[in-house]
Amino acid sequence: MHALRILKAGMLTSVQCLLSHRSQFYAYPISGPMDRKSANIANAILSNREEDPLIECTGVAPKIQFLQNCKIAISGADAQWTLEQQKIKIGTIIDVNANQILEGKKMIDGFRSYIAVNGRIHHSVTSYKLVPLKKNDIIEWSPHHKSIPETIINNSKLKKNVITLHRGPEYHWLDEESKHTIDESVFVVSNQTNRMGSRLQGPKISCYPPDLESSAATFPGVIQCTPSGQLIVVLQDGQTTGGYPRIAYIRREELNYFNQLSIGESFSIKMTSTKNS
Amino acid sequence: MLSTFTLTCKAITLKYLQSGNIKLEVQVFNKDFVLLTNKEERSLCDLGHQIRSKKFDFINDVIATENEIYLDINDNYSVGKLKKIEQIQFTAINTTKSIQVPFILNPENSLLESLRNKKLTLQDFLGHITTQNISIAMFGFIPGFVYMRELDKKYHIARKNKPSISIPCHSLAVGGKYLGIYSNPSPGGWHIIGQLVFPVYDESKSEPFFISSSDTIKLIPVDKKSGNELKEKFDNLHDYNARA
Repeated sequence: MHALRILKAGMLTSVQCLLSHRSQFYAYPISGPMDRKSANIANAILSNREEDPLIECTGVAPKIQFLQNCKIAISGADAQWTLEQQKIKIGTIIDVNANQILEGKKMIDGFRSYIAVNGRIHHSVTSYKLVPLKKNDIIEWSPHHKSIPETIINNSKLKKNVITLHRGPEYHWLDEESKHTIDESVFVVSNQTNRMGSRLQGPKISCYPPDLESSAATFPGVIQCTPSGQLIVVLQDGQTTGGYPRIAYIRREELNYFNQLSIGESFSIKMTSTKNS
Repeated sequence: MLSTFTLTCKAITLKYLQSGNIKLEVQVFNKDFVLLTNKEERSLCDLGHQIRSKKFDFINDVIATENEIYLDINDNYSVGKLKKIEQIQFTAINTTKSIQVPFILNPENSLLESLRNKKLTLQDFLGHITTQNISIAMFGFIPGFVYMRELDKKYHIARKNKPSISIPCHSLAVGGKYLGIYSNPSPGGWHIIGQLVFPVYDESKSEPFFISSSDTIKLIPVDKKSGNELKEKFDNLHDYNARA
């Protein structure tokens, strides 16, 4: 068994993996990595399986000590990572010696970074009870013995300043002015953003009626319009039902880009004219 | 009973699934998800459960709410495959059984105050919720939460203006037109009526509920002493319903 110790937790660091055994039918959020593409890259570099757990770091990097010789891979946002104070590359295999320390700073080109290890992490991951890692937590894993070819995989585009939206079930509840406003305005990822959802700062958007008559399905990427005119993007750990009109949604691949936007970062919206069919 | 799809869309396909007295409008959103809706039908949770049980290869997951079934679809999706839902011989109001659910009466002051404001007594309210079989509207909000319906309008209780920071697990509560069960502790704006003697939900199981979407629930108020005696006598809700 291999292990690492958390020396500093960073802003929000947790173990994440794709969870398929819990259904949204029973209100379990989809959960998992916020930027699935970057997470997949880190696992792929080490010949791990796509569903293997890995460490998701948010905003500010953690400080981690590895207790045995091992191989790791880092993907996603660049947190100016160093190993024993030597700058290291992301997107490739990193050989780590026992007791070496990995650390980083504030992320500079995105908001989420992923650390995979060469094997399967043994850590309880549930889909709705986020357990942030804290100082002195120990993460253990069983190293696999697959061959790991040398490779470099760059996630060349982590985020976009224009996020593409598709019309949601209640898009037609928007008044005409609000439809134009969404297309022409700049929105900001507010500090009321977490793994459950992101409230957007921006112009007031008007929907009529302001509430759904009965709760309806919600899912990662769906955008709700609150009665106060604020837009909320439901994210990976979000509730599976909600009562606000779902005026639009971000497709799965595009959601990876959205989730790399930092708190306080602005973006504009491109509402597609694609008709629902 | 044979079911049929009726197709009527602007240019291409607007589909209706008709089975017995259930007619579902079908909307496909860019091959990302499908909504099956019916604003009148009250058995969609049960139908959603049946669709999920079929494990269609084009459906990743299903969410069923009162008026809508959401299908998270994948690359295997096609209109032809969607039509396989026709094969489900669904009959509305296909209630299989009534589950007796005892609860220890322990009403919150906010509930008593709301009842007073409506010029109702606790006995009026209890009489209403315990003398009928209550159907399950949907699962949702948070894992383990059950929405139940059939409250007459005069017994609808507006949610708290300021939600409670934590509602204990296994609380029976009322909010708006629904009764609800908080199987997990959670913040919430509903008024607590009491605590279930036996949980309806076991998180360790892959099918975590002791009740199914087609069941109805008969609520049985008990005092704390009787509730504790029931806990000693029976293992769980199944055992209680089998032997009580």
